[in-house]
Amino acid sequence: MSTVARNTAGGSRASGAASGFIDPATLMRIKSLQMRAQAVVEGFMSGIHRSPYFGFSVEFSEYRQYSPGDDPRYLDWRLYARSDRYYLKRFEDETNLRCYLLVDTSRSMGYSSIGYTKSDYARTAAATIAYFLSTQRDAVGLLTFEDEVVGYLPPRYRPGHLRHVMAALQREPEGKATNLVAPLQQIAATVRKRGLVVMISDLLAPVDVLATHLGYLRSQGHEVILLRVLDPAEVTFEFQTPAMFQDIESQRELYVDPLAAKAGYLERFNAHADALRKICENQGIELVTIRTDRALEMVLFDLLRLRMSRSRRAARRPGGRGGGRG
Amino acid sequence: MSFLAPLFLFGAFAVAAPVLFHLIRRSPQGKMPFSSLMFLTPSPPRLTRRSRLDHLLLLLLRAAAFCLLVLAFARPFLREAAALNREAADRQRVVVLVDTSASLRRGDLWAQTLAAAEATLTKLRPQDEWAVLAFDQGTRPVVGFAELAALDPGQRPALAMSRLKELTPTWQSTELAEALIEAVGVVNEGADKTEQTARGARRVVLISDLQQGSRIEALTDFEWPRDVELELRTVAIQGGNASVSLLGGDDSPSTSERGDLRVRVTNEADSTGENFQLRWRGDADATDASPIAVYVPPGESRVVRLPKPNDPANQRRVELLGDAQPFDNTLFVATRPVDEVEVFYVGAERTDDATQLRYYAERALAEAPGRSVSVKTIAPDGALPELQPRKTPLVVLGTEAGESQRAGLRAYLESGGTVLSVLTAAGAHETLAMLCGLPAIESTEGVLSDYAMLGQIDWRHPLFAPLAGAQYNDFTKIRFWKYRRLAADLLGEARVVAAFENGDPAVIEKLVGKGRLVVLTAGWQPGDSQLSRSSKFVPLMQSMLALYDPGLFEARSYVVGERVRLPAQPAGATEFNIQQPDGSPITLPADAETFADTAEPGVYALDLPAGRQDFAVNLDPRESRTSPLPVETLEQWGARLTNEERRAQQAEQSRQLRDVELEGRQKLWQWLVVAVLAVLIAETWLAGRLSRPSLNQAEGLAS
Repeated sequence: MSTVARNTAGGSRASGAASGFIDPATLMRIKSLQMRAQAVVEGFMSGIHRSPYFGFSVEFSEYRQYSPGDDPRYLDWRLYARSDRYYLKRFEDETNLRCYLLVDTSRSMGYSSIGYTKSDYARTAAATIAYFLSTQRDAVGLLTFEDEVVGYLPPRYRPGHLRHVMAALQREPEGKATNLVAPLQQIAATVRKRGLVVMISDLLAPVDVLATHLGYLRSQGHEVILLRVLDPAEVTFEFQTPAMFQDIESQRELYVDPLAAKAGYLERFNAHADALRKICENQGIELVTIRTDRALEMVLFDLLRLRMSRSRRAARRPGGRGGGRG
Repeated sequence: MSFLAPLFLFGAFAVAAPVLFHLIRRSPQGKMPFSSLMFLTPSPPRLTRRSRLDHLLLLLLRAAAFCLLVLAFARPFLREAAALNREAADRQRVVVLVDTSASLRRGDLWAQTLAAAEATLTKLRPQDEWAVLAFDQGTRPVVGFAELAALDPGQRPALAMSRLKELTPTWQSTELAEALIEAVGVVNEGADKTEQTARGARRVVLISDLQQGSRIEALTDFEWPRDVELELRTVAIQGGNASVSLLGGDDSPSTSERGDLRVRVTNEADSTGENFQLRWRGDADATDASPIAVYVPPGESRVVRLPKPNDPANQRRVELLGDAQPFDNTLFVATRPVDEVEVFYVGAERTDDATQLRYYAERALAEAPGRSVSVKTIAPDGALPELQPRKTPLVVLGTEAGESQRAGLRAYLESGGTVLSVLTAAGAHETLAMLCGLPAIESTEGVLSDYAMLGQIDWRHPLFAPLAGAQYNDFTKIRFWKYRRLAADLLGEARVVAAFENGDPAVIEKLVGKGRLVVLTAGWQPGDSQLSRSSKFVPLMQSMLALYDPGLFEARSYVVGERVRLPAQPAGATEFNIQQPDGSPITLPADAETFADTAEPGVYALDLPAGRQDFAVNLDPRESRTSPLPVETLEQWGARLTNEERRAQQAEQSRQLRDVELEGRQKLWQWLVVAVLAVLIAETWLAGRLSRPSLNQAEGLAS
């Protein structure tokens, strides 16, 4: 591997150590995915997260003036007695989240320039999320895909389910191509209940078809987060020596002089990233790009930050769908 | 300058390879796996600064060092100094063996042979020693080593060729093995004396048509020397050969009972014709018989019965018509006049009395191959003419001869005749006593309870020798009812040829003068024994007839070169006169035992006191087998064959050996290695000098 790759790996260790998080390279040496997830989550936080949905539950949230059409069951009669006005009581609703983890196991995820592959990272991230959610009694489903859907575990919360998830994640990437559409179609076709769809992939595939299917998922009410996992070398393309570059998936070979090709590569790579970002913005989808030398806790942070900001946005949005349940 | 290992010079091309590769393109140094090529475009090969040649002088020095190293590996040497020694080491001893057998009379084979000999001789080099031998049935020198050594090298082939051109193919057969062994001996002789030559190659060059009829069997017993090689120069013509030969060997008669001549017509496998004709010819090409058509497919042979022409003068030879090669198409036949002899029977019996001896004797003696026998009867009291053993080889005494006859019989016996005395009755035998020169001989009747059989037989005796074969020697079927008991010692010095079981003699022989007296103690008539009715009777009587050796010449058919055994001359004869086929006479001394000069086929005539005897000399039938012998056969028989290719290979090997020796002596490669070291030192110095400015620069930067 080139010197660039080594430097990148070293940098990540430095940054991981400095930020107080676990260095991902160290983390990847743990063999068990569950142990890795525990290590990340335990250092992160515990407890529950707030439900993005307002329901009628134990914990009071706020009052809202009654308007015709609201359910009279939730009128606060005591307040009415005091103030002679109709108010509805609103509660923090503790729901059980249904999370679908869509994990790309195609062979392009097997690329590595820093000692562990994108697939390792993506599977650890998925395991971390699954573990984290399961500690909160949320249901986690898993769908692995390459050029087609490889495995599907429906979301459950019950003893042993997490183990199944972990076992399914252990599978090494084999696929020869990446088809981003198939898993989205499968989720859209099989899942009726709304949930959180987290797709973890390098998204190194043509994105034009992605827009339609993401939009379809969104229209079904799913919350969609794209976690884009990239190797540092893919982002920076810091190669020096000319070589036959070989596509991991298709084995196609191309003679590339990196010094000459770097500019074009970055240009096309960024254009692809921009196109992706634009699609996500249009569809209201969160896109998080993560380099594999970044600490895994940050992934969790990003995820929760997004969820919080989303729920706040949803809460603030008057007449928004999120606040209008019930 | 030459090189011992010139292939190493190709290594010099390796100098150009790195430069070329550097200039043409920088090849990718390996494969780089990457997640996806979707953002990559192929890069064109580019010229970098590194691919330009910077330090030309340095490159040249390194290339020169490499080239010198390559040159040293190629082991150069100077050849000029060695040229003379090589010639001396190359001296060869060659024997050229030229076939002159009868088969070379075909077509232009002899011209081809001479041309091949000339080509061979002119190719020999001045330093070579050589000799020429010619062979057919025997081997004879044409030009010897010593004779040629005295000549100027330029004149040697001319002399040898002039001698060869004097030769013509003989009529003799091909004794190839003998000739080869002789040639090997000649090429090897004196090898011990001249050590220098002994180290050179020895070669026998055989110029022959290598026909299948050549005799090579003797090579099995010969161990071919390792350092002598046989080079073949075969001559050949297209088309096969047909031949006619007398059937059978020495024993089997070539004439049938009817007097037909049995001949074999052989057609070689490579022949084109298959329809032939046979015709009798007499002297001066006279003929009175029509030709007989013979169909013989190629590779086969047919036996033909040729009826003899009526006129004996036309029975001189048989010609085969329809064959392209005439040399073996004539079969000479020696005809012998029928020998007319008489046998006298002394007795008074009637001719048709089947109970008496004469009846059977007449019939047993009448027919004999090659002679006609007339049996004449004389009564015991009749007058006996003067008997000549030559004309009357046998006298049978069926009874006591008359007193007037006894003296004549005694004289006949002493002059070499055979008298067969049959004892038909016991008592005194005056004739026998007279013939033996004894006062009296008496016999008694043998005492038999039933019958007697012959118990002891001397098979080596000429009487019984023809019946000695296991299939003929059963005499147990012959029973004797009566016999006369006569002790052999009563006859004086006599020999018992056959005896009965009880030991009493049955056949006694006594030599009297030159002649033989044979006594039978029992008659062959049915009253005495079963002898006359057994199959042994006729052969026994014929053997009796042959007991007189007339000193006749055995006129069988001979082959060219075969020795003819001459008959013993009677006392007083001074010499043999032999007339050759062309009419020229040859005279041999009287004590000559054989005649060896049967050089050409034909009918020879031998003048003997008994009359003129002809004998035919024909071509050896093997010589007619003209299909070429496979070359491998000679190798199978042990000859070490060489050919041009192998010889060139050997020359190449010896040249390489010399080169190795020469190179080892000159050792030019060592100087080349020294030069390499010098160039490398210069290169190191130059490289150091060239890198110094950059060091200076670096120091400057650092400061």
